[in-house]
Amino acid sequence: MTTRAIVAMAFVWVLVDPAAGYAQRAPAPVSRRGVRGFFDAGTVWVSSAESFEAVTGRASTTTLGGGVQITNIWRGVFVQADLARATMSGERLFVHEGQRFALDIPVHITMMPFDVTVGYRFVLGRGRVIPYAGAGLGIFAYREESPFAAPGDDVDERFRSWHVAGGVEVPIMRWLSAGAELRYRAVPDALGNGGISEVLNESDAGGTAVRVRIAVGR
Amino acid sequence: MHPTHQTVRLLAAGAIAVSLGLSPGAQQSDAIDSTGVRVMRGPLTPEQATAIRNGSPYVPGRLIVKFRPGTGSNARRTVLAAVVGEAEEHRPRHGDFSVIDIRPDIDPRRAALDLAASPDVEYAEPVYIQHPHARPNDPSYGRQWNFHTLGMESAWDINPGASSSVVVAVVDTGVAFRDEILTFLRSDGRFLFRVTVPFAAAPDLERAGRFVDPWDFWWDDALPLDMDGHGTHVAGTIAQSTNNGLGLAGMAYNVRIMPLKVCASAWDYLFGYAETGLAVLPLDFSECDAATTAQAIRYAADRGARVINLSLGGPHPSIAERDAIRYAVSRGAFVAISAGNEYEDGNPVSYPAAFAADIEGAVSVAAVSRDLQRAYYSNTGPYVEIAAPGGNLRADGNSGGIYQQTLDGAFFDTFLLRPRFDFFLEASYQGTSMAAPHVSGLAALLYSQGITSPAAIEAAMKKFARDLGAPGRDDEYGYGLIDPRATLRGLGVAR
Repeated sequence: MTTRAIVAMAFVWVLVDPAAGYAQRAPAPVSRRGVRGFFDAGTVWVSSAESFEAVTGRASTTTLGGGVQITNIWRGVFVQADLARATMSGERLFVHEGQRFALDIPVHITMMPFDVTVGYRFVLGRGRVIPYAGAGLGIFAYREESPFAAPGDDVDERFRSWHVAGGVEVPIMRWLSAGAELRYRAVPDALGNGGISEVLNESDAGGTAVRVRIAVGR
Repeated sequence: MHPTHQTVRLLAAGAIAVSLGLSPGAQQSDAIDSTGVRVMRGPLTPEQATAIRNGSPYVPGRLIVKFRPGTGSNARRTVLAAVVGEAEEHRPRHGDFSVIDIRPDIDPRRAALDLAASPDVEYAEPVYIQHPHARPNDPSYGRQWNFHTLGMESAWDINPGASSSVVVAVVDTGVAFRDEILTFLRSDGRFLFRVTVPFAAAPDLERAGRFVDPWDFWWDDALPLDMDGHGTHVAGTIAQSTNNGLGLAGMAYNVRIMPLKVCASAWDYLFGYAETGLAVLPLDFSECDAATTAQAIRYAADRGARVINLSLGGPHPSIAERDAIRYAVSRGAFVAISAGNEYEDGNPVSYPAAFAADIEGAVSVAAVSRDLQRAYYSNTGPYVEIAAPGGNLRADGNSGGIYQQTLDGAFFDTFLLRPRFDFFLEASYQGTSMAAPHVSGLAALLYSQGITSPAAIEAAMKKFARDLGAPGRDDEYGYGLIDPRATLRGLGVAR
């Protein structure tokens, strides 16, 4: 597991253990089950950083997404389904002994993770800051396209993924809240069977994302 | 055809010292004597040429010696005197070695061994003879199955014919690269007379600015005119004009060609050594020597060639040639070398191809036929690195060969007294000589596409090669058949 994954899980642990962030646990208010929709935006740092840097010149990109969350299924337990989209562009290349030769052939990469998360929201104090943490499974769609492709050259595949996430949300109005989340996603063996990822021995198409979120609903 | 020049070529016997001292790049008029006669200042004396015609594997009376750095002229003379007695040392303009003229009765192989034992000598070797790796067959029209097999149409979608900034040196029998009318001496065995011989540029190869820095290492002038057809055929595979509504196609049809003649054909001999009474030679006679080839390789590298094609070789290793290839690679030139056509003749190791296995940036090339099987003649061995179409006339007739435009042999058969080198046809050849220019053409395309390191070009060719024969690298096909489209397209993240 990568360093990013460890950092992300430690972050989640801090959120899960309220004592680490708050001196005193307040009694949880009585909550009703609710349904919320949310939109989020942020940055994702890909795990196969060298491969993406070689082709696109960077190891991170913007991610946009949204989803639905059912809260307070039992106490603070929530279930969430969300879809995100991140794109990157670069050019095809050849690498020899660390030297990169760009080939002036564009590459367009689209990553669309669909995640289902089960987590727990810790309603503390008067509920002004609500930490949460969760984990889940997903389907990760990876598409890579370039001109001059023969059949089978382009990639359009789906892979199983898992993830852990943690964050905080702050109610702004009765039906509106804002939040921030850190999510680590692993997509093992999605890469590394061809392309520069095979050369660099990188196989994980996942990464670590930091996102801000606006949620509407209860 | 528009004749632009009329001169007489004559043999200047014993002019080797002049040849080795002169620098290519001198004016053409430097090769014309006081009577207006053009003189051959090639690398061989008539006696040496006769010995080679009679099958000598090396140039008699001559050695290649590289002295260790810091060895002064007195020390060199002492070493030479101790081993070979009277000797004359020449320093080629394009070489890091010396050419030593010794008495013709001394065995060069024995002398080379004795000299190599001296602490002042880095290496010493005979000047071995090599040959172009193909022979023409009866001319015929046909299709270029080789380009279809390689998927060149889709490769040209990615890179249409490479850039004219890329120079490919064709180190060979010369190239039909310009119109000329030259007058030579010709012997019929009894009398010596003058013949006026027309030359023309290959119509489907010539265009403005196509040829750069030509040099003839036999006649020692800037007219490396092909009198064989081999070099023109090789140049055609690399760069024959394409999409011009004429003739055939070439791999990297926009590149510029540097024609360098290092292989003398039958007619180079018949004209150059006419004064000796030489009247007839087999049309397929052609020979090149390692010292001349080594100089041409360095010449090409020094003048900016990015790709050097060597469709020639022989069974004897030449360190001078190996060092020249290394030098060229160090100057940024990729070198493609034919692996040899002697599989059915004992499958000897062929040089300089065998050097390529140890040089990143130089590749030895085997030949496959239309069915993608190793061609029956293509040498095998651990030095074979890659395969390309070379044709198989035995199995498929002319249609199984590699078609390019070249000189029409009917007009320069050696029984003629007055040959012509201004008629062309689309001729079917076979050989690893034909395979190597496919690799040179791909190298030029890759260079244009952005892979500018010879070692990276070699690595890319091997990585994307289509595996043939036993899985992985093998001695018949090396890493497999070149795949131009896949190699040009390179790598994405996942595929």
